[in-house]
Amino acid sequence: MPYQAEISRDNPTCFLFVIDQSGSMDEITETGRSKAAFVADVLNKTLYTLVTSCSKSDGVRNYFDIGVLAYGGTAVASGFGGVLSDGIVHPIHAISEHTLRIEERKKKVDDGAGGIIELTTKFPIWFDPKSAGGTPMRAALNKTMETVTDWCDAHAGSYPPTILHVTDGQSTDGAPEEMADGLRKLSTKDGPVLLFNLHVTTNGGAETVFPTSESDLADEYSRMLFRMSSPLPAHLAKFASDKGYTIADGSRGFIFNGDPQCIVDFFEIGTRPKLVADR
Amino acid sequence: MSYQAEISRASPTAILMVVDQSTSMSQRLSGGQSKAAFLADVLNKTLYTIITSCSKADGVRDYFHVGVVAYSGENARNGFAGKLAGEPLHVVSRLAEAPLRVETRTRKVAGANGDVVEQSVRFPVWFEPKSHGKTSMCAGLGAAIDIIQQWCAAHPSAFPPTVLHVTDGHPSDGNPESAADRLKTLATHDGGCLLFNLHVDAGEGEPLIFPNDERAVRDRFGKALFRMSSLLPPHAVEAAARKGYDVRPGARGFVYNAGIEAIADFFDIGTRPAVAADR
Repeated sequence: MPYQAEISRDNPTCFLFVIDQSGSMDEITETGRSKAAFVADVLNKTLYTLVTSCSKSDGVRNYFDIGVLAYGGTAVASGFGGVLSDGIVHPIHAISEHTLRIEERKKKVDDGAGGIIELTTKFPIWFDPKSAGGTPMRAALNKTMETVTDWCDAHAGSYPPTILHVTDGQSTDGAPEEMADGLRKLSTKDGPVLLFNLHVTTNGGAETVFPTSESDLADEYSRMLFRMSSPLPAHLAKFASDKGYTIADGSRGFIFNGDPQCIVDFFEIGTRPKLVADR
Repeated sequence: MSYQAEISRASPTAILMVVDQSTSMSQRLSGGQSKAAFLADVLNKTLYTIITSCSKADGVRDYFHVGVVAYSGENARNGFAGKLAGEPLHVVSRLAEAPLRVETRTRKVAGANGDVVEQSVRFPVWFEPKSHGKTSMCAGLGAAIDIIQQWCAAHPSAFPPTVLHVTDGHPSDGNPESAADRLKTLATHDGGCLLFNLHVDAGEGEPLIFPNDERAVRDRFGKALFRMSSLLPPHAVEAAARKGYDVRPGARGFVYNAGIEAIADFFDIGTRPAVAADR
């Protein structure tokens, strides 16, 4: 059975976020912010959640290696800034120590008696939104493949890497499908690499969430993204189903036309590790 | 000109809340509580605020007749229990005498240095959260029609009744638009019954507050709720503007995708005739 490896400091797993920063990501979503800004917020929050889940009394334990690859225009590069920008994947302890900055965000919460109170919370930033140029998806997935190949070589016994790919558009440097196929063939002893794809949109219309067949999808491009996506392993399928999504045998880790809530859930489901040992 | 009648003890107005108690209301809001529980808190706080606004040196003055209709499953019922269960509408002084119980709540308040302090407050409860069964919206609005029709007949020159309808979903007992239209044609000499609709959502999307164009609403049922909603009368426009909302000509008493803040504001603005009373 794949996806059974315990995640520990000796056997960490890897989450790699591959983020489209092409020009169209500047379109405004129903949250009132651009797709790029909303995705950046969700990614920063996800990183913070991952850091928190590794924080124990003795510090941040390296259960995870975390990478961000950003692509737009002709560039495919580390999505991290500052000290972290010289590499793509870093142990979570390094992530926790090198935020770009910490913002203060206002958040309105339930005051406990039918009212609202505004709280100020600290919001660490690792990743800033950008949106310019074309969509070099093929180059991005090629770079992802190199990165993941190296990681798998170094961690043969680990729970395999999970790649969360976020895009809003069509590749401008050729068909990315063969790269995705290559990526999903990479593996550790615990199973093949997981590639989940999220298509974000501003155009309204119905979303397709965790579909089981390409015939659920209207256009050639969305069908390709479906084929590029791994089936959800059992523990993630269960988690998605607990969140209220309809999951069937063969549901793929793919959301088409995702609204803001879908984007948040995609990140949450995709980064849900199976089993973390030595807590 | 409509909505000019003075609200007095001799000529009170009516406020009727119509509340969806279907199963989906058990979903959690981002604040942590379920929609049903938070809504019940806001509703109870609103009732308490109405009582307070009617409390003068000589006691609680009956400027308002207040009722709650709850719907779910196949039907609608009185949302009040205990001593208040017998009648659909009650004068404010009767309400003040008969809460189900008075709870002690811990309320978060802003402290001196922007920190948060917890305060123990007395919190009267008239209405309890429930969430079970289908969304019998037509039954709920039908019950409101009966109540409002009788009330208008008995108070022909009063400030017209306000109906605040809260739902999170699609009706399971047919199209509610004709019931809404019927409700809005009920009138006193001072104008038509006001129907304001609040659509509650647990999601990440920004709420759409008092829109003036149906096209701003993405969802088909949301569009229907827009059409079901009365134009905001001047007193509500003023109250909304004071809260910082940009209210355009033609704005409807409708909030779509409301999170906790928009829920609290909707009740506050919707019950605003409260401040018009003769002091």
